Amino acid sequence: MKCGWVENLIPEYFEGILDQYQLDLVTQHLENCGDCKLELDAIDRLLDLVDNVEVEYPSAMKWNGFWGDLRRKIALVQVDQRSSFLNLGWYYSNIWKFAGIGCMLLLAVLLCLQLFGNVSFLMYPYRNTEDFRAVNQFFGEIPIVQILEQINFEEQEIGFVWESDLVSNLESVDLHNSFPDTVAESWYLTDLTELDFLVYPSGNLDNVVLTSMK
Amino acid sequence: MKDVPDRVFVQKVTSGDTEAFGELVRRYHKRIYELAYRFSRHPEEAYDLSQEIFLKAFNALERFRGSSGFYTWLYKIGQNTCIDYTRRKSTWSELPFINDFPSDDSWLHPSTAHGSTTKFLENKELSHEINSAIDQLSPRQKQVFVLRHYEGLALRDIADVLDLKVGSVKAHLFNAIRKLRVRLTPYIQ
Repeated sequence: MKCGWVENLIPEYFEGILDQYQLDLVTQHLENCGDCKLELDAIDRLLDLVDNVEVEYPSAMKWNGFWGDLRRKIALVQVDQRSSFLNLGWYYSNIWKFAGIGCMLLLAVLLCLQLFGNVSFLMYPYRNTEDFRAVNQFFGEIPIVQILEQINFEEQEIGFVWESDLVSNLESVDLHNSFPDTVAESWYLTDLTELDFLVYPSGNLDNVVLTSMK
Repeated sequence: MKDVPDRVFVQKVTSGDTEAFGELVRRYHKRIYELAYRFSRHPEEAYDLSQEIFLKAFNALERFRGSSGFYTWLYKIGQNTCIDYTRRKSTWSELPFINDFPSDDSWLHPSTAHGSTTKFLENKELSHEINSAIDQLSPRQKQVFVLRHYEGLALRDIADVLDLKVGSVKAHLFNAIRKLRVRLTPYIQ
């Protein structure tokens, strides 16, 4: 094997990155070739020399002020970030543009549903009197002859009591509300002469459908 | 304070306590400085570079997920910043100290004043000469050489960091050693 070929492989040999075949060839050659052995020693010394260069530090005063310098730079960055917010620099960030477009689209969809769909998103405050009137009006349409008493009105719990001989005709009770989850409870009392609706604070009772067997 | 794990300070910093970052800086600024020095070969540059690394880390700290240790994460930022630095500084004559030396190199030779290589290693000027030799490598050769010899990375890891093929890393390393060999021949014979 020629020395030139081996010399080219010496750096890799020293790095330990030769494959086994090349390693065997180089090792064998080095045993018999003084020049290449010298080259290997030279690179060994070179890397030793380079590896042993000491790290040079800045002056003690500067070194001790490392965190102080950094702290000032951090403060400057923080001031820049705040001022860029006030200068509406954030407005030009793409993420805010996409968020704005997303909000506009969402509003448009909700408006369409409100106007053309059978869904109501507009909340209005609970109004005891009007809601109760609506219930009363509806009760006028169902075949229960007489509502004798309404109880617990002030507590948003609307109760009705009727003549017990008519209750046996009652088949089902459905509560209808703009927000189905907000009127969640109704129950019969044991003697089946009363029907109570518990209207939650955010709820708004639209109507009640009582279906009679008659 | 030394026993407190890094993540405690990281949490404090992300909660708005900037001073807690000072403890993390005190723990690691020497190691980060040394990393920066190996790439920059100059104390002023290394100082600025290590400040830049910590500043980047501070700004990115909210994105630190804790899947690795804080230092590992910081070191990665440092490595990338140093690699970017070598790209920026492709003209190494910009560095001030290189121009401070006589052009004939005669004063550097071991035989002129000193008896042994060991003594020369203690000599600041020799360090500068070695730094100068490394600085005159191409940016790629320098990145590969520093990552291999000073950071101890395996060739495959260097290839990943620099987005190169392993064969290219070998070639850059080979050429770097050959250049250094030529430049530093007087000191190794």
